[in-house]
Order: sequence, then C-alpha cells, then structure tokens
Amino acid sequence: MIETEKFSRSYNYGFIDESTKKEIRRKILKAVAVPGYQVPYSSPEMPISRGWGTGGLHASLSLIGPDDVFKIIDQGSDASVNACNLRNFVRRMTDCRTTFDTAEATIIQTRHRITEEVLTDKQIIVFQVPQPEVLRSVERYEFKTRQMHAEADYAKMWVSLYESYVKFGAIMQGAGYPVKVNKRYIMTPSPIPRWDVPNLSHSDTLHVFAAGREKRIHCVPPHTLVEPLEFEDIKFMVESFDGIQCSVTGGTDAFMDEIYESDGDRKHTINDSNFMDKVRVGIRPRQRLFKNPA
Amino acid sequence: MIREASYDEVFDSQRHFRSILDSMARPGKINQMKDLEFDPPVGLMRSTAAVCLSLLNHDVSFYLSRGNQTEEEFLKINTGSRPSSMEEADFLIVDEAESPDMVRFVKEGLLTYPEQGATFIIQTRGVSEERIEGYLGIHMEGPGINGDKDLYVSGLKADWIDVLKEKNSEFPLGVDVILVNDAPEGRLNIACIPRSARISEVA
Repeated sequence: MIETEKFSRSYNYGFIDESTKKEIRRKILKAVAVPGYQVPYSSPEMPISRGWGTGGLHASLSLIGPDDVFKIIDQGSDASVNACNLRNFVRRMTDCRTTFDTAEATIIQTRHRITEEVLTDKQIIVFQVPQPEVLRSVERYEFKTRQMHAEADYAKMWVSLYESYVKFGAIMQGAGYPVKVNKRYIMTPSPIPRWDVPNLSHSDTLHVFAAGREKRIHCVPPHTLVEPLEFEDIKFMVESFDGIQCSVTGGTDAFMDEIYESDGDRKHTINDSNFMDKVRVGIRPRQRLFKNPA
Repeated sequence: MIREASYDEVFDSQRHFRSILDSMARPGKINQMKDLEFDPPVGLMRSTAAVCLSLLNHDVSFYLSRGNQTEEEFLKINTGSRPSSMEEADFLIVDEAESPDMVRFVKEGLLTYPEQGATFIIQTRGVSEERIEGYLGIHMEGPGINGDKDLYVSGLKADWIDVLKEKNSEFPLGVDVILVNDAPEGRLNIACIPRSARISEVA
C-alpha cells in the first residue's frame, strides 16, 4: 500500500479540485474589477444541494487557506442548522480554525445578514445568494436581463418601485433591497434586511456574493459607493427599532428578532448572536448605524 | 523541461491568489507574495510565474510579448494553459518597456459579458507607493480606493495611461492590469489596476 501524504486523504484540500478553484478565483477577480456585475461561473457539485449555500461554499473554499479563521452565520446566528453543518464541513475539509467571534474571523460566510460589528480590511465576507438577478422580478428571461444590465436600462425596476409606492404607500421591498453599485450596475445585496444595506457602501471589507444554484458571482470591493434605489421625495429607510429593547441583554440599536410567546405576547432579541453575546458581557463592538431621514 | 516539483499547487497558489485578490480589491496597494523555491526561465520574473501558476490552467490562453520558446514551454508545462494570439489571449504577459499600442488589439469583453476582457501582467523593475524620481506616477480613484491613491511604476511609458484610459473608457468593457516586480530578498511585489479605476498621470 502506498502511504504518501498525497493519497492519505480521499478528497482535495477544501473539497473542490484545484482546476475548478482556479476558475472560481479568476471569476472572483473579474467580479471585483467590475463591481456589481454577475459573473457566470462553474458551480461544481457539492455534497449539499444547490440552493443551500453551495455558492457561499464555493467562494469560501476557493479563498480559504490553512492560516484562515472561519466564521459562518445563518440569519445572524452561529448556531442555526445551516451554519453548524457548513461550519463542520469547512472545518473537516480545510483543518481551519473556526470561531464565533466576528472580530477574530478572516473569512465570514453569511446567509441573509451582515454582522452588526464593523468588519475590517483584513476580513472577507462571503454571502450565500439565492437569487442574484435583481431584475428577475420584473423580467423573466435571462437574455433580456443581461441586455438590460449591458445597457444600464433599469427603467422597469424604477417603475416597479414606483408602483409599489402607489399601491402601498411605501416601497415594500424588505430584504434584498435593490442597490446601485459604483453608479453603474443595479444588484441585489442578497436578502439582507434593509438595516444592513447602508453598511455595504464604503466599507473596509471585500464583499463576495455567490449564488450556487444560479451559478453567478458578484462583488462589492471595499470603499465602493453602494446606493439603495430611492426617489427624490421617497427616501430609503431602514427598519425602525425605536424604543425596543433586547429582552435578554437590554441592548438597543441593533437588528432585532421578534419572538411571539404562547400567550400572544411578543419580545425582541438581538439577531446577531455573537453581537448579543458581547453586549451581554458589557462589550459594545463598533457599529455603523444608519439614521433614517426625518 | 519538467514540471516544477517544489511548487505546491494547493497552498502556494492559494496564498498567491489571496495577495492578488487583495491588490485587485484595493487598486494601487502593493502586496508581497510568498517567494517561490525555483527559478523560472529568464524572460519570466518570479512574481510573474507566481501569478501565472496561481491563475492559469487549460481553460485560458496566454500571450508572451517576448515570444520565447523556453518561457512558453515553462507556462504550458506548469499550468496546462495554451499560448495564443494577442487578440485572443486571456492573459498577456508583457515587459514594462513594451509599447502600449498592443492594448488596443486585445479582448475587452462584450457589454453582455464584460468579464471576457483580458488581464495584463506587466513585468516591472520597480513599483512603489511612494514617489520615486523617474518612475511613472499613476493617480487612481474609484472602487476599492479610499479617496485617491498614487502608484509609481518604473520604466512604463506615459502613453500607457492614455491607452488604458481609452480602452477602459466604456466601462464595463476593458482590461485589468496586474503589475509585478521582483524586489530584493525574495519579495515578490504585486499591485493592480482594475478597469474600474479612474486613472491619470500624477502631475
């Protein structure tokens, strides 16, 4: 029996084969060079179904090396099923250290949230994106949306926001609010709440958005202008948690989960689990808070 | 010629890629790549070899401005990539002294698929974030840059800036540039000018 290091494992480091990693890496570089544009990529088979975070895994596993510290959250929580299973998988495939501490992580994979704590230039945040095509709600065909992006023809998107306002008195888009990147491409920030959207703009961190099922990668580099779509008289607003306290820590000014109790009462808790843990012991990490226009 | 055995396909390429990515995401920022344990042929700098071995494979093609047999063979054997014409190449490896006229002929992508634009790897004798006399100063603004940033490159002719500006004028079409340089003590420098950067000559 041949016992060499090469054959001591039945899988490649980071699960994905090197040739495919190279392809994903080249696509990430192009996505960085054209901020907001969705680059098609190979989306190789993973041991989980497409649409369950494969895109995030592709990006994370192409980026990750033995020195990295990996954190993964699902809707803000380190403890939910999706996060736990993907964390175990990444740890087994890479032998990387994993952490719950946002400040300590070098690669953070996330589903539907940006961490409450401000990220630094030493970190990369990878988003699991279900539907990367922001125009899909107004245009069904891929060849047409591609043409619309090519021509920066976003009239249909603006009309849909206008119609939403006329019908409901507000722009109803809650998660995945459309944004314009670098004054060129409209993109979806993946279904993060509005609360997180302003934090994409001029941050210190590289944001990588990967959609495994739809086979697209797009990026927002650090220090890039990201503007939520808004009208001159109807402004973008984040969720308001005025007067709401976290029932566990007493903290305020964070994105809150609303929890209904069996007797119909409701209470709130801070959604970002690591942030909540820190607030609970009296640390208040640095945050970027957006002020709604009066 | 045989494949370089000391190059770690998994971990060296990953480390080099992270340096390239950091430089691409922060235009004008110089990163130091981990050194290689072998000498590439004379026409290729160590840093060029590092970038090529980390990014190239059989899916892409390259063009060497100084089309030398040995260098071409080295890249073919170590990456599986294939040489092609200037107009077709995905990666173009050129020297700083090269005339920028060739930029006009390379792939810039389509409006529907701008990622098909080519990537330049320019071999220089020096890159610096500080002003150095005789170096070409490139002033940059745009995504990835906090305010503005100056990058100084040795030997590059000033018309590179005009030609790149023209090539990248119809964003998202354009080319991305990776500047490499072998500094003393095995420091492999890398800096990038993605097409999103708005560039001009430092006055």
